[in-house]
Amino acid sequence: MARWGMVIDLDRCTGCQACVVACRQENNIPEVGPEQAAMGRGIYWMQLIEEKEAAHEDAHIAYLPRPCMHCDNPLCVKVCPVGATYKNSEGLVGQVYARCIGCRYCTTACPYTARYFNWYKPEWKPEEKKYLSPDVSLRPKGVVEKCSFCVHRIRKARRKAKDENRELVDGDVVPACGETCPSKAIFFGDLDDPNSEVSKLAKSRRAFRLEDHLGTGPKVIYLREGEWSE
Amino acid sequence: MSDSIAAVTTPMRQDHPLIKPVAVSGRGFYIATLALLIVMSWAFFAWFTQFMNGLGETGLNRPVYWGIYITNFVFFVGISHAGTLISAILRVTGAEWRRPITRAAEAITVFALMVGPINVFFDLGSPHRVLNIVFHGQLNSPLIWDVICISIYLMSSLLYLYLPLIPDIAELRNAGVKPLWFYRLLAIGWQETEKQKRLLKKMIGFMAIAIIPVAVSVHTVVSWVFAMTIQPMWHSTIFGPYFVVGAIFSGIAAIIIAMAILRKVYKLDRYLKPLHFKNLGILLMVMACLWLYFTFAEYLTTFYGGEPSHMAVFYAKIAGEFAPMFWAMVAFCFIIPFPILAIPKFRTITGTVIASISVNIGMWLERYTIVVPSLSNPRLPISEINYTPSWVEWSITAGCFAGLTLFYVLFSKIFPIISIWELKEGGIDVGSGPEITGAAS
Amino acid sequence: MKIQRRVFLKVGLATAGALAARSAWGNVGPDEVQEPQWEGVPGEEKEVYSVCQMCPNGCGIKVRVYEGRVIKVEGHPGHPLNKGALCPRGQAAPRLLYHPDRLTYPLVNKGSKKQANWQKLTYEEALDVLAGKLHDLTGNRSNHHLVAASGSFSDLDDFILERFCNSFGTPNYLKFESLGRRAMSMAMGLTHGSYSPPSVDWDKCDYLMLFGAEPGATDNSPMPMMNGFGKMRQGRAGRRTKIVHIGTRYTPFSSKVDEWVKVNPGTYGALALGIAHVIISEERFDTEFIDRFSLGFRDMTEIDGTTKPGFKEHVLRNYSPEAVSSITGVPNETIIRLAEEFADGKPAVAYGGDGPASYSNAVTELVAIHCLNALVGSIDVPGGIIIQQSPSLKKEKSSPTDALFAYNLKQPRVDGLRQSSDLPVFSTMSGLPSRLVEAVPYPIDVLMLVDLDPVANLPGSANWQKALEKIPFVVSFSNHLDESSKLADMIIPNGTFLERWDGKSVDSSTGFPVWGLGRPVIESPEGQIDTSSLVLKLANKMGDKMGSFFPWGSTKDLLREMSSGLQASAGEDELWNELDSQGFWSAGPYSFGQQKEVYKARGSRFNFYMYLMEAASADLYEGGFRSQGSTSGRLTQSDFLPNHISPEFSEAGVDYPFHLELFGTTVSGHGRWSLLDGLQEILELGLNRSWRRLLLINDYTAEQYDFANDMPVWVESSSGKILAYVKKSKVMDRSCVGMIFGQGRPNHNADPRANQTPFSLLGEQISPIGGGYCWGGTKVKVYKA
Repeated sequence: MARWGMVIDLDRCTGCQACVVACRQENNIPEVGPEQAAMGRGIYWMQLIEEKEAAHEDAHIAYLPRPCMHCDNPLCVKVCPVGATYKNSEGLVGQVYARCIGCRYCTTACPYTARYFNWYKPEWKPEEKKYLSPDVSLRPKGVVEKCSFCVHRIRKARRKAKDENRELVDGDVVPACGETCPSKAIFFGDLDDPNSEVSKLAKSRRAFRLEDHLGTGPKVIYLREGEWSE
Repeated sequence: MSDSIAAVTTPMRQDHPLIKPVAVSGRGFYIATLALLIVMSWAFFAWFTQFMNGLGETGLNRPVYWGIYITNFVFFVGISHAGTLISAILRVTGAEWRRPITRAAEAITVFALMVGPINVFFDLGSPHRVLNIVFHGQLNSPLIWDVICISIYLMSSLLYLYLPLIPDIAELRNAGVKPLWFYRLLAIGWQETEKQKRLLKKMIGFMAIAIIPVAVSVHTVVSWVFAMTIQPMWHSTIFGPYFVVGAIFSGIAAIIIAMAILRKVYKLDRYLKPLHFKNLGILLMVMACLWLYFTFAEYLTTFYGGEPSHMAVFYAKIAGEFAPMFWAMVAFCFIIPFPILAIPKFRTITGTVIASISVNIGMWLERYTIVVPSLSNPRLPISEINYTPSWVEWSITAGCFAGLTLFYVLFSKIFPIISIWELKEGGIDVGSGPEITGAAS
Repeated sequence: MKIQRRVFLKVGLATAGALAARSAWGNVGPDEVQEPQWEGVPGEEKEVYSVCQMCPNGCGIKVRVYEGRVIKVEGHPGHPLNKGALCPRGQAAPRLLYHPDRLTYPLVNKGSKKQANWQKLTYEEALDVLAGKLHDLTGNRSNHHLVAASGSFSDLDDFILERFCNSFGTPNYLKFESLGRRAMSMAMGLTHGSYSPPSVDWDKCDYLMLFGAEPGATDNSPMPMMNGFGKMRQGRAGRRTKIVHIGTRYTPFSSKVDEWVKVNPGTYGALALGIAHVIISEERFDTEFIDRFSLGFRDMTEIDGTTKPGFKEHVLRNYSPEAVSSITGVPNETIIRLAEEFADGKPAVAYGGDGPASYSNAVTELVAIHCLNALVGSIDVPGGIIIQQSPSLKKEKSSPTDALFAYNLKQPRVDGLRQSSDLPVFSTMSGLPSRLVEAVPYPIDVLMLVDLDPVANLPGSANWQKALEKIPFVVSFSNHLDESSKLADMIIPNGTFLERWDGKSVDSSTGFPVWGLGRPVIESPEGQIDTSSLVLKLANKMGDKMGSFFPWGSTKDLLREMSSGLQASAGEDELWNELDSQGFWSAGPYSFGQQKEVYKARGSRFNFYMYLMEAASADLYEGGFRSQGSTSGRLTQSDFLPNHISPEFSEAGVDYPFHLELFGTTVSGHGRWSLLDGLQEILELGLNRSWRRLLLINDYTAEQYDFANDMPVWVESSSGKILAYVKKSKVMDRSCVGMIFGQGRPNHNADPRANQTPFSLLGEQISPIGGGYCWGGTKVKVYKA
């Protein structure tokens, strides 16, 4: 059993948003259109969030890619009344679209605001349906969704390893965001494997986690900008 | 043997002031009912639009995932604490003046408890899956605690409303109010025998005590929906007691308003006297002080601690986009009602009614300013997204008020809104007709 | 008793209710069941290699095709340019393929330009109509009245269109490069003698000065800098490149670099010269490089006894830090410090991007910036500037023999192009629309637009509209009814890059040549035919004579033939098989030290003194380039050394108080893909907004004008006006307003007043050397709508 985690090196990140676009394409995320997006209803499983400080000369616009943290102690799972979100044996926080009643308690409980809701029925024109991937189910209106750490890729990789009669090795599983990143800032792997890249990077002096003090145990580790370190 | 003998008293007539509203309906009733039905139909249309199209028809967004519906839910559940206080606590403490107003209060409880939770149903993205709460309910979720506690409270309140109603229904049956089969059925053979009276007293006594912790639990778990998360200015230990106090506060105000209207419309001045309003007014004043105390404690603690994510919400409420609402809330909840209630000269029926309306407006605003500001200032900041409720949300809110009012009006048309049995139990000679034979104490 | 029963029932129900909500405390849910095994999805799936054409870079892609549908585009793991990565625009490629507004068959306008009446045609019929129009030109001996204007990134289209024009007998094959590319190429052309934008060996650079350049926020080679950024910062044990971002505006990227330096608009080159001054005066320049690989650093005495001034004295005399400080607004100390760090930080690179390229002084500014690289010897070394080698494709030059054709070919080009040593030293590409309208130097009868929407995507929008209305026959090879196609007489949809054969050289930063093979990853959904195949057919319709220059049966055959030139040592079949299976051919690794490849200018050296410019001075003067020094404006020797020339601004003054900063982002590039919903919905960094065209305006200024966020305002220049929505920003200078290419789409706005693009604000400002577009020198006024 693995314990999946992600490391995002902020010193490498250029803020290009390739991860955002790749994630949307991979996971069949619908566009909501201009009016809805202006209301703040856009769905961005991976989103670049900003921290702005101070006034002009010192305006520091730092940004970081924020997927779901897949917390070890997920607050969303605690509050879901119907068990539509759950933590599986590999540490992934899953979402069962078929069970979700859309009460949005999980969205209000998440301290990272990493969850999104389908306010209307996601729609694609007939032509646009052609680029939908069969690997990821389409969500109906009225359910919550969020980053899944590309669980379909994890399962595919596992199946492939099984077919090839071997174990999963580090590098077998690459989420869509990590695959596309032009500056190779996103790493993914098994945090329980001491030899995996993410385990080693997680020990870096530059490593930090968001809202760590809340005890959520997020499994996305960021490496802050700064001098080169191992 | 003598226990089972039916009491011999003169049956009340249909023109008795306490029975007349049930027996006879004037034009005002039909107009009021029609108007309320129109509002409710419009609300249903709004809901139907939302049901077909999705919650996008509301003004909700990310990060303000909850808004008016949850506000309404908390507000109406809050009002429902009226009945418990009056009926149960005043009964247990032996306050005799409660007798004419117990049923009016209990009725508010029952109907508010129906209107409140239905707002959660309106708020669901996939309402057709609501039964998942039953089949797959997770006990770790505060929402499930709500389901359990509110269900228990609703059923208990229904029972607690029904029990003292039985003798009154019997009176209606005896007086021949139509439809006779209905009252005969619901009277379940009440003949006012000693045995029956004893049993009834025991059951009511038991319920009165049992329902108090249930009621406290209800609004506590409603508050825990917010307090069990770790969001700034939601995660507060004071929420349980704070919400219970607020519930009782708004509940009393609701009773006062209901009573004043009933008194006017059904000409019940003999029974609903200035004394009742005075006493309830004093209770309301006490609750206002309690409410202010809890509010002050909550905000001072937050401010003194100065934690950034909490201060963002704090400033949003005190000085930011929610400041008008917040200070309006303080005005409506305390600044306006307190002088009216504190100064005996102003503590009249009119005065208490004005204070009560003010309190209810203020308490609705209070729920709103608890729900929305914490959401619109999340820990990982999202800038400049505002929440503006849509016509659907306002329509449904109007529908909720209309619905509560309509159920109430219908209830007062089907059953006597003043508990005859309670008056009799208190030793008041109610009489059988419109002659003035006794006044409520 | 009945009542007791009721109590029991009530309690019972309550308990039952509680039990009904049965569950253990904790997470109970589908995980009670084992994690499901991936059973696969029924249906055929394959991976196809091809080349991306969303920008001119040429990244390799791996396309996932499921049941005949393209569902994902990833980077080609083995391709030397992008190494498995892909930028946001590449990721959005499936949206282009399956765009709901795609035209599926050719259309001809049987009505008028005001009142269109589009009728369906087959491809054959459409080409017949076009052939007919071209025959008419031949009949009138006015072949040169054909203009083929191409915005295509495809190398194959480039080859075939040029060949077509040559063999048809018109000099007017106009290739419209991405914004700024011409200026960047000209800067290299003047100093190196080869017309191509600078490439950088990013991975090994230790000190990087970015002059108005950001990774990815452009259509000019976005991938290498993005790729390199990661490597430079954390990709090498123990080393982290120091990066300085010089710009007119603090951007989200500015927060990622080690130092941000604010510079006045259009003065990047002056700053470079100021830095050069310090390097020279403190003697920190690389003497060995200058002595071995450059010309014109010191004053020179020519063979004939004349003297030419050298870069060294020129800079020392004219560009002291104090002088430069007042031009650029950069403090004296900063200039000195940057110079010292740059000189000491080898390998160090100075790279000029869209920032300096956007003004009328683009070429000379970029030259000044590039001279810094020469000063410290950062050319043709690891971690420095490298020259991208092109693959040696087998391309036959067409050589028409018919006298008529030859005569027409010698006509002046419609853009007034003057070449010197194969460099387009002078051209009025940006002034083209008004020349078309005024029929200068001659009227144009047939205009072919290929993947080009000048009304929406080029400066001089209003005049382009007039030109399109005036030219008797306009045919647009485009998949959409875009702003220009609407004014065309015929539209021929030409499919997307995912449906065609193509060849694409990588245009930067691998150094060694890479050639990618693009292939149809699926059959064209509606049977569209790509541009090159269409032109092949057209050429054969023009008669045997022209047809003989296009002997290939298909574009695939042509590509096969072209590829045979890639590697002399390999057999054609072997080569083709490698290309076919791998999707690209490359000849790494890059070898440094090939002086004649790197420097094609005078002396096979870096030209501080730009001999090429001197040779072309007459052309330049005729084209409007004037000397800064002499009163007559005639060019003198010091003009052929790097100089800072003040940028021109459009009509300014009280009426147009704000300087308009138009810029691209990684998501929008230069705005070409604004038609993709998938990109429109992405929230732009630092702005938290999408879909709408924003006007970034300083907080304080906004208050003065009483603007609130999201308020619609008119932005007007002397060329036009468009609608935008206010976004207050702390980082905009008070004298500037900002706008992003590609935000908002023509004809897809809730408010129809917002239907134009920012290009309508741009006039036909000419960059005198090379003729590239200017988009940085526009002044505007803003008022409530």
